[in-house]
Amino acid sequence: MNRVRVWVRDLAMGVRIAAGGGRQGWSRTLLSAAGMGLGVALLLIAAAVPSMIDGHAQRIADRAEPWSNTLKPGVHTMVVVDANEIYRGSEVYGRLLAPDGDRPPLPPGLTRVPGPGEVVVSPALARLLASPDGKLLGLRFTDRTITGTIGDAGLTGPNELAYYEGRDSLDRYGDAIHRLDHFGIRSPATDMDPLQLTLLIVAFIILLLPVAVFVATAVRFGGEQRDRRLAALRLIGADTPTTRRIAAGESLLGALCGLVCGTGAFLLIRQLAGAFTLQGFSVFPSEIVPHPVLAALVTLAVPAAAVAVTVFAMRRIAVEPLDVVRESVGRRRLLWWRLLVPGAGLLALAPIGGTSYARVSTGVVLLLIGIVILLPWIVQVAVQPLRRGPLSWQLATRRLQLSSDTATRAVSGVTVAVAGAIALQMFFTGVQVQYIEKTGHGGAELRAESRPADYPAAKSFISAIRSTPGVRNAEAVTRAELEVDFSNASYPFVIGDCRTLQQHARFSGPCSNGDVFVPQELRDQFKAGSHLAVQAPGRTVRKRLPVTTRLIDVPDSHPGYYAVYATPTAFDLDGVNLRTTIEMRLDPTRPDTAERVATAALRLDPQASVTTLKTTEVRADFADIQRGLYVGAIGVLLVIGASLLVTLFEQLRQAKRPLSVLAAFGTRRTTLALSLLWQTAIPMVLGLALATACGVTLGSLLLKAGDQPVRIDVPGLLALTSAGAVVTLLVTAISLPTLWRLMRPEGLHTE
Amino acid sequence: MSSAVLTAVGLRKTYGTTPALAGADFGISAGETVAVMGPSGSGKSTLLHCLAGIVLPDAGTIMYGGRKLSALSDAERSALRRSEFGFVFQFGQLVPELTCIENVALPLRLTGHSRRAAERAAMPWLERLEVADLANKRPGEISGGQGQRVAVARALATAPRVVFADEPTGALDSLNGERVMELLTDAARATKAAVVLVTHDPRVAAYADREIVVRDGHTRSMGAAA
Repeated sequence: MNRVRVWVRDLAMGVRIAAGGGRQGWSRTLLSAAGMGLGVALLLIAAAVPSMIDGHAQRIADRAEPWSNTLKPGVHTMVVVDANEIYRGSEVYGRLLAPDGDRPPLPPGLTRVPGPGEVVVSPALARLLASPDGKLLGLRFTDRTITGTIGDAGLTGPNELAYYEGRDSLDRYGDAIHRLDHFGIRSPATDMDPLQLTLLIVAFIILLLPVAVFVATAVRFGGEQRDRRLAALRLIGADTPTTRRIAAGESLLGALCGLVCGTGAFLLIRQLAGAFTLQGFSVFPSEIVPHPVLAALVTLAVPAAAVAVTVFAMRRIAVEPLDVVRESVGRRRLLWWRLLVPGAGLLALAPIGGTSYARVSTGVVLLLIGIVILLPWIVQVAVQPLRRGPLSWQLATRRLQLSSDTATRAVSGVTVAVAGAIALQMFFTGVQVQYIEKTGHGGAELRAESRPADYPAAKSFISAIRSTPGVRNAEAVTRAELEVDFSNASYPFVIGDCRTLQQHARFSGPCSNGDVFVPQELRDQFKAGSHLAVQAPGRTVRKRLPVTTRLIDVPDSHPGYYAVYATPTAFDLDGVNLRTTIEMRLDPTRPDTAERVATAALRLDPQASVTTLKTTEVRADFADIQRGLYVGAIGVLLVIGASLLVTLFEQLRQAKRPLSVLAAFGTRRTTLALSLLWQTAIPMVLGLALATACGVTLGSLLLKAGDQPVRIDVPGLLALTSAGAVVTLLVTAISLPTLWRLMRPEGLHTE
Repeated sequence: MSSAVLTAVGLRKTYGTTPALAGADFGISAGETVAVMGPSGSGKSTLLHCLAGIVLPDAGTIMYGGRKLSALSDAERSALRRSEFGFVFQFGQLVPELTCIENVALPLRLTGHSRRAAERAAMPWLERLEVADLANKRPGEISGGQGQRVAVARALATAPRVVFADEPTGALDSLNGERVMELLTDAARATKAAVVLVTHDPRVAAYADREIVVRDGHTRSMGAAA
């Protein structure tokens, strides 16, 4: 019989034995399947990430507005104004539409362009407006009628808050209007800079490796009991390789069930995904489609891993006839081959002879796999000399001395995840300097901006914001874009009453309505009586600088150093492009002040924007990667927690008989609970120490590879190692009721 | 049974809807070995678990040293098992992670002895049970018969007043089984420990001073063992 047929025969026999193993056999298979199913589900989700990203990009492209300055109004054109806003931290996509003719272009997801005063909203926005949470947002739509909902084709995700509002005319919005004759552009190729690409690859590897580690762990669930059962096969003449293959067949059934469970879980998650929004990102179930090649890889790799891991693990166990299994103990783990993998990883990451993404990715994978390989050796070396201590400590250390595999398998996922997270944290902290942009404002917390039609509208806007409860220290400035006819240079033209101007430009002295003030630095450009060209929608208005124009001293560090200051009656401001900006502080005792300000602003000007101010802002594309990483990290942490729990349950289930016996002769619960804790905590502490060392090394190498200065983020490092420790402790605590249950005397029954 | 160390009257115990004991009586004196016999599922092990305070009966009274067992808290019963009872089971009773000497020393450590003192006290028992050379081996490295001897040593190491043995030779061949029984009963007699011996094997029961039979949850005294 050829080798393939022998393998198939033995694997099939293993599957049959596992399937016919009765309730206990099936419970073991299902536990293994549950563990692998978790991993498979996450791998399939990861395999669907490209389609999710593509789908999201395509949807954005489909509703993009390819406007043109040269487009003339016609029956097929429409004017659009961006009215995006933020409501309680969530972005609201808003567009004001004013068709030029009878057959305007239709945005995706709409069956007709809403008429004047009509609003079409997304289902999520409709739900929000109908709920008590949306009451404040609803005030922004009071004088408009919601006439329909936006179809899926017009949304980036099922939970996106979006609306289209119809208008007669959008002329008052000046140069903010865009004229277009169709919606949608070709989906742009997403070009990432090399640093971003490296980040993305590394993040993916780091998030997926713990899952792979867990899949390999789940394969061994129930292994110890299975090994004993295999002794019966040796009795009837099965040789050692046959026994290993049959054992692999038993694991194969678990893996196949795991594939089915994982696919089922994936389909369930896919169906439920539409109901959730993570970090502002929601996705349509129809777009969660695993890449065929990746899905095929998962489908083949999981059963193959099950077979390979079992055959490899069985090499360490001598299954003999007559129901006797002698585990090879006292065998010293060899270090040299364990160093090969991380060594190769370090070599790949070393900044010698240039770097490439393939090299960086390979280095990261090898270094992280190296942790998994090194951990059992480190645990063995560390626990071998442990002798003294209380009984619980002795029980735990002896268990680890006998076989550190089970416990280290349980924590290796956490270790890899923490090492990866430390490296990424370091890398992010190191490179984000490049992606942080200073916003240039000081102590203000909120900014409201509007483009008023005229100065009285600007005054109304300022007054409405200032009178909103909870607003403090509001500083308002209205500007007009102003060009000097001899130079074509553009200067802001700040308009306000005397008090506002004096506050803003920090000058003192007499001031009355009709006055104009020019900083000393601009005295040559703005001479009293000279002519100015002021921008109005579609035209330039000529104005004359009053002869009473006065020179003032403005500190050169002041943002208004290159601005002209005018009181409202100094010029006729009719038809001039104005922009009003109010920066303010908020009363911390009044929640929702920001939303009230937004409501007041948007009721007066639907195109007004209200933004929360930070001293720095992270660039959007960098923030996207960071957000993706957080979303992934949440998923991986959940899987790690669940996998640790399943692993601990499995360990306890296998120890059911000894636990019952220990309870029978009076062992205290606390002794066994502490022993369980030590058994997990010792490898965990070692694992976290290794994770810290590897994470810092990996982070440093990645920073060096990206030509960035190396710096260790100690608080971040502590937070991450603490998170790893908390996950493990929490899982141990959750498993205690199972320990108590297994200590019951029912475990002593043999009949 | 004037010097009875452990007595039970009218014990009843039901698991779900299945009655395990339906009015069982029992008594044992210091230094005495009593074999509890009966077919599988007759309630032998349940009787042993009730007598040892591992499970509480639904009805009936168990008296040990003048104390009513069911009146003791779980912690008090655990303490009793640690200090005054010893146990030998059919299989799976040695802690696989610990060496043989550590296993024998385990009950002593549970009663507060230091590791060194516990192991010093455990060693003579290993010698007595003829397994001293296995002291530093783990259960996975020794045979079933050797493991049972270690278990007997462990049961006797705390100088218990009562040893509970549940099918102690069930997993052994006859030669090994006989040797284990000889060692167990000899050692128990020498320390004046009472032995409650659950078995379905008449050859094992023959080592006892007398036999009782459990059938359908009831006990019947059979007098002195053959």
